[in-house]
Amino acid sequence: MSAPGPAAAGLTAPSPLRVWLLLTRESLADAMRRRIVPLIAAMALLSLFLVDNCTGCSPAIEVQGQAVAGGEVAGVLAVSLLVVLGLWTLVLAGVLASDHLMEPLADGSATLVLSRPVSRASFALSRLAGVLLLSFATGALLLLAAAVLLSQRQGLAVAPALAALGACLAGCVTVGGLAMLASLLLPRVAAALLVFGFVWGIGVVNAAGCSGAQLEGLLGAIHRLGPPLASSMILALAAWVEPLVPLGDAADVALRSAVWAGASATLLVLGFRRRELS
Amino acid sequence: MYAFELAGVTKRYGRRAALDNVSLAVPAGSALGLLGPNGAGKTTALRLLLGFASPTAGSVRLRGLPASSPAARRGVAYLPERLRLPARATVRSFLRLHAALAGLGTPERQIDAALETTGLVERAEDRIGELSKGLTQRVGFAQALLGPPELLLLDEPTSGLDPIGIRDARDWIQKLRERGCTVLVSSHVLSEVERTCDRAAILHEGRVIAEGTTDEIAAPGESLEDAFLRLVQA
Repeated sequence: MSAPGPAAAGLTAPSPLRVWLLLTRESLADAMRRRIVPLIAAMALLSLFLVDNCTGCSPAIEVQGQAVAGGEVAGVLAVSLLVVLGLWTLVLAGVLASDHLMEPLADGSATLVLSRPVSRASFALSRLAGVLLLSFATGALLLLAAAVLLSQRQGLAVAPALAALGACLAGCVTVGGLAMLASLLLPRVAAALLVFGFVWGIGVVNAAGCSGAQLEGLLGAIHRLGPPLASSMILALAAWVEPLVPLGDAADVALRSAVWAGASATLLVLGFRRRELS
Repeated sequence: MYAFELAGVTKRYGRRAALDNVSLAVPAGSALGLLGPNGAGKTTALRLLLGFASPTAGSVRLRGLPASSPAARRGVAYLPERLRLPARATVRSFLRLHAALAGLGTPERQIDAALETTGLVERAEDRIGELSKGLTQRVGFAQALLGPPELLLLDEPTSGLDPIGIRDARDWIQKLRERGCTVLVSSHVLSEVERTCDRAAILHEGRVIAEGTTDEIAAPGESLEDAFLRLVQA
């Protein structure tokens, strides 16, 4: 008696998209069960409380004896506030990603899934998507709440905040993908620390570059060629501060943001394909 | 056609060869027991078959396809020795995921059949984390029985099962074999292999030192265990 074969056994090849969606749902559920999630929720609530306080004040400011228009100051402060919230979202994506792929590999629970006709790419990208959904939902809550409060209290338009949210999503893909890739090579703590340094380091360089500082050598290269984690958000919020700050070429930053997001996801897939499973 | 084939496979970790020029070809519908002492290369062979690792030299094919291809794993089921299942998932939701990943056309019917076979109908809505080790192993078997599979790879399958579970597992494997399923059992328990497999291969220090039916491996009047000890200690 010969084996019935997959077709005779009622097996149909599930589409890669269906497999990816199934695994993404599992990955999101895993991410939601992480012990860090209640801490994230508490910090998000605390951030919202601080945003509520920060957007409520209306200071009278003088610079070198000259009164500065309130709208200009509000714009700069609002950009700073949203960029910090955006960078915090990127750190969150990176920290969650730094063991979301490694955990099921280390404890062996991934082996049953990968013994099915599931590609390494589907598995890795679904793990990344689970992290991104959670971190992006947190980022959207923080950025949109801040934007609505700024709109009501300072009269700033909401549309730039939506563009900044898009930039934040692209940054989350970049940071999450690179953090997951790093986790294949480094211990978890090292990968998480790398995420902190990477996000805040690039954030500071981008902020300096966008505020008109002359960056040369390595710092200049990071600002011009590296992932525009903060500069893409600053640029998206340009309408709030443009009269004050030179911001550079929007198309270049948007393209670089998309290229880094695509490259980090691709590198993750390539790195995971080469990884041997135990 | 062979259900799976290792042709001149060597797998090295640094300077150590976990498998050294191993060739095994298993026809569809047969049952092969993979025997060997600890560190002989049994688990490495399974990892190569599932595409979890790549050979340093040689080729590994499942159903005629390279083992690294996801398509090669259609109709393949696996039960690892170190079984880790999602503790918060219910038995049914876990099986539903695996039925979908396996591409089953009528998953609920297949899931009900697997639950019935493994005696888990009453526990279908329980969370896996609430189950004993033996029942968890049954859940592992239930996912492996979905389909049913065309090729079943088992790594120490009776680990954690009580005598009744061991007898049941033997019956499930036998029923799958009657339906034409190819079975590979990696085990230390020689009597288990003797009962469930028609062929055996003995691995020692990464090499196949004996392969054939149990009658071919054992000398007249010799048990498989005696033959194993004689070959490994030679």
